[in-house]
Amino acid sequence: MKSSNNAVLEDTPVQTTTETLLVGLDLGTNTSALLASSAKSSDIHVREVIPSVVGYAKDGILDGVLPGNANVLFGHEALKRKLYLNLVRPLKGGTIADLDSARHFARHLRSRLSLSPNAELRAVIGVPAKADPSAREALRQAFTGVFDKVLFIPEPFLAALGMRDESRLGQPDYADPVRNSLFIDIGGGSTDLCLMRGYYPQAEDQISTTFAGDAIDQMVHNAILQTYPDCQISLHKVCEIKERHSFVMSPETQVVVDLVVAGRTRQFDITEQLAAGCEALLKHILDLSRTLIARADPDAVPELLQNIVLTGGGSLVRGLGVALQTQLIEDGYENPKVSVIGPNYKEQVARGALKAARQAKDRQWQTILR
Amino acid sequence: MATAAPSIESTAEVERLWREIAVHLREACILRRQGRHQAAATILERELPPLVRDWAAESALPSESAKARLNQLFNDEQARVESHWIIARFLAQEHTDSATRHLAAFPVATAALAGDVTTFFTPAAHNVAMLFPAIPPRRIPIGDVVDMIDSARDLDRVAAGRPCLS
Repeated sequence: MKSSNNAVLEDTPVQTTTETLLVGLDLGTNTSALLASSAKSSDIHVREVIPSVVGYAKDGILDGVLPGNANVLFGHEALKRKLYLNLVRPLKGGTIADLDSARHFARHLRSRLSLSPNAELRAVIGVPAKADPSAREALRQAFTGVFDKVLFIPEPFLAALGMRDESRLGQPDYADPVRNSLFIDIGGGSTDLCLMRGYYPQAEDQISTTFAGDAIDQMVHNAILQTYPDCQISLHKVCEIKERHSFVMSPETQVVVDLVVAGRTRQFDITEQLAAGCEALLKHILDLSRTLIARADPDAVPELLQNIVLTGGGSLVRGLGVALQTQLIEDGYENPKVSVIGPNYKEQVARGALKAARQAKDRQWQTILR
Repeated sequence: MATAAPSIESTAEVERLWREIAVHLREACILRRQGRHQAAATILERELPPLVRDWAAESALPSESAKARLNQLFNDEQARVESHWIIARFLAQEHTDSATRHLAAFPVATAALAGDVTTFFTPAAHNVAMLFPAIPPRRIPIGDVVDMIDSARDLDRVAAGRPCLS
């Protein structure tokens, strides 16, 4: 058997704590979502969406520039002061790429939970469905000593749980979103499509591509520099512009942004470059949708086409849902209906994780040993 | 305008490069399927571009045609890997189901025999987990959270090299 200095062991110790706090955590490539609630109440005590970024103070920063002369900042604070920090993203493509910053980020997440000294923390943490053993081990290492007990559960399971409203099951006007549907989750590192057929998705129900938010940023960045070689623009800036102005089909207005050329700010029209990146995304999800729809039971396809759901950051590209629906109609699919979850997508996996935490049996919780 | 016919050597080189590109694409698709995204990215970002450049230069195809051929190759390889993947999973599932049936058929097996059988069949289960880490090999209804957690934990143990049938 493989030895590990932080092996996960089942644990059934005698409890001496007075309160159990349940945590649902979605550790995302670009954004992480954290929900926490007492085991005895359904109220959510902590609800946070935090950019998954750690900023380490650059050498020689003057006193008072960073709040509390901090050496390290996280999330929004780090992005706000990025000029003075070396920014590190702990995750890439959904898995941990930098263990040290992942550990720091994990501890920061814990610090967001206000706890009484005797509280026991039990966390369900989402794991990408295709994470290999080394990726799972890295996740364990990052969370060693952070929570008292943990469960690592594949994200498609948690997403399915998170999007379902159990209280409305059986109501005639409620369409169970996981009964027969196609979910398209456009994240930062990957775009994952999944057929939901009433049971937890299996390998053949899923298909992925690494063409996602980060790839669009890179594509738009390259296109801007190709058109305007003198301008200076970072990938981070491209990401900001994309989040604010991205569109498919036609823009509401031309996308004109301020960029720096040799220290001076000038305005550039980047409508065409942004459109190319977003159209490429549309083409990818259209191709993959066709593939997955072809795998569905033919009898189930008419209902499936009524329940195509776009989620993830990329789903917020303006017009993407309408464009996908239009393209599917032009392709000859009968009466497809595409809906977009909207900004609430960020909490979806964390919500499912919290539901799983509430239902997990004591025997199922694990302790990560140092 | 007439163009010079490609030499035999250059045609052979074009074909060699094309085969190399196909092999690399296939490997990348398999690695991605295994969840080894970084290894796949290394192939796609580092190993493939020089091959594609060389092939494009040798083949002297117009840019649009070259792109179309590459796209077609990528789609074909991805479809081939997907198809084989489903077959492999099906066979692995059959293997583990068969192991379970054998164990159930001998309820009075001694502890030693059960140990042997477990040892014998663990590699099969291990292969399933390696192919599809974190995906349970059976259908669990959404809503059965406890069963789902057990299933995820079993796979987690298998993937980490811990025994799963004990």
